[in-house]
Amino acid sequence: MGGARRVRVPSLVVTFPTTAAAMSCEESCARRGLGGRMIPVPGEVAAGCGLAWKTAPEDRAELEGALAVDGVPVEGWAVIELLEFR
Amino acid sequence: MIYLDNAATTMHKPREVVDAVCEAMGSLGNAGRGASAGALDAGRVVLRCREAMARLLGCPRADHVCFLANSTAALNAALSGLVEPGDRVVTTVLEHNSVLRPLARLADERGVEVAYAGCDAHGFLDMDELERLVCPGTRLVAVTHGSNVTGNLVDVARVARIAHAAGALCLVDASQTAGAVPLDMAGTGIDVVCFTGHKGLMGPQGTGGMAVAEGVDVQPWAEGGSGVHSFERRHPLDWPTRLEAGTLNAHGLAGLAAGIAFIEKNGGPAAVGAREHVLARRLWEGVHDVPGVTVYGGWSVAPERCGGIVALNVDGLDSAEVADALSSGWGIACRAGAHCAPLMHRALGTERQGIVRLSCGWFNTEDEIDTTVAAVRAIAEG
Repeated sequence: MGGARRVRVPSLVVTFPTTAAAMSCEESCARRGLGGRMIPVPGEVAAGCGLAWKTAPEDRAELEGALAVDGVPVEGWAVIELLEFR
Repeated sequence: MIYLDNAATTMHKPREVVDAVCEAMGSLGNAGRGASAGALDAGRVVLRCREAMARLLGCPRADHVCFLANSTAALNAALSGLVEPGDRVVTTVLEHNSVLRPLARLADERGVEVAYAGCDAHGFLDMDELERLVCPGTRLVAVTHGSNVTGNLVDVARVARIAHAAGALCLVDASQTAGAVPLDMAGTGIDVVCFTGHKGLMGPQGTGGMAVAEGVDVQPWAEGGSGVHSFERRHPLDWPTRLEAGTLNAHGLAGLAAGIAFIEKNGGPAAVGAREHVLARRLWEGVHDVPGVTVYGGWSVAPERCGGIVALNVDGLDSAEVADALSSGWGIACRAGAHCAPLMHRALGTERQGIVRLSCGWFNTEDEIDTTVAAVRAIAEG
């Protein structure tokens, strides 16, 4: 990370009602080859704790369809600018 | 990975703990259920763990150490088993939800009155306010031994004196301290200590319980199989059976006993805590004056009353973002957010931002701490 600067990048953040649902999302995405990764829930989306799924905003339609088919309950969808080092 | 989330669980366990669990899973029957060799072996393992836990907590009676699944289960059982409808309970803003929520339930369902002592700007418990709140008629004072957010320690011996002066009982949540901070129930007069096995005690998840002073009546939280008195209609009230309905986690307790043995072999809780303190102090010294970094807790004013945690934020960044940057950029595992301690965050003014909690453990090294300091500095300067 030496010399990297922090920048903000628009990201799709998916939140879940339970940790179990968040882990199901990860499993569903891995099985289907969808991108993204788990992050701590950003305070901008929800105060407190928990897990969220972070991916590119343009992936929303495909992800939404996959989670619906797999029966993964979702609490909310948001596009926010998240910190990255580049 | 640099693991600095030991306040959540000690992910790195002594090899002896892993071996003990594996051996137990291949050899133990059900403790207290019959006299087969396996059942007796399980009973012996549980007894050895009970005796070790009693020794560690200064509990004069090993049979008053009762095993449950974790601290939350123990705190629910203790609070529910001690408090009657209409009682008054005093607790603090330092508490975890494992104390706050059972008390909220008791308030809703049993009309229990709950009062909350606050803290100062550094997150230390306001003892004067606690003393004012503990009035005659108070049934119970429930306090943490150490904040799971800041690591600030509480003088629980003084809390016990305050409670007893008003005729109240004193319950201590030792989730964050058992195994890393000495505790002496007999010497301090603390009535109930709740503990978890998977943090400072370095045992497996799924282990925990409570130690109860003689003469303190904690009513059973559940009824069921006891292995004895099977024709009695209700669950036996003998210790420790009264709080141990159902099969015990003997496999886990084998590991917990090994964890306690590891701690004792390395000098006991004082020595383990001292090691964690050295590491946390090194971390604090490295980050506290970095521009844009705010450190919470008592390190700047009373480091001797701090545990192995450094709690911080970086100006302008959400705690979750900082934790994610530490993880993705440097492989540092920590915990962001609210840590299930809403009143502590409200008191510190961090409800929205959360806090980045870096918690040290026995197996951390100075090099790991120095890497973490450099990472925090890079994020703040980025």
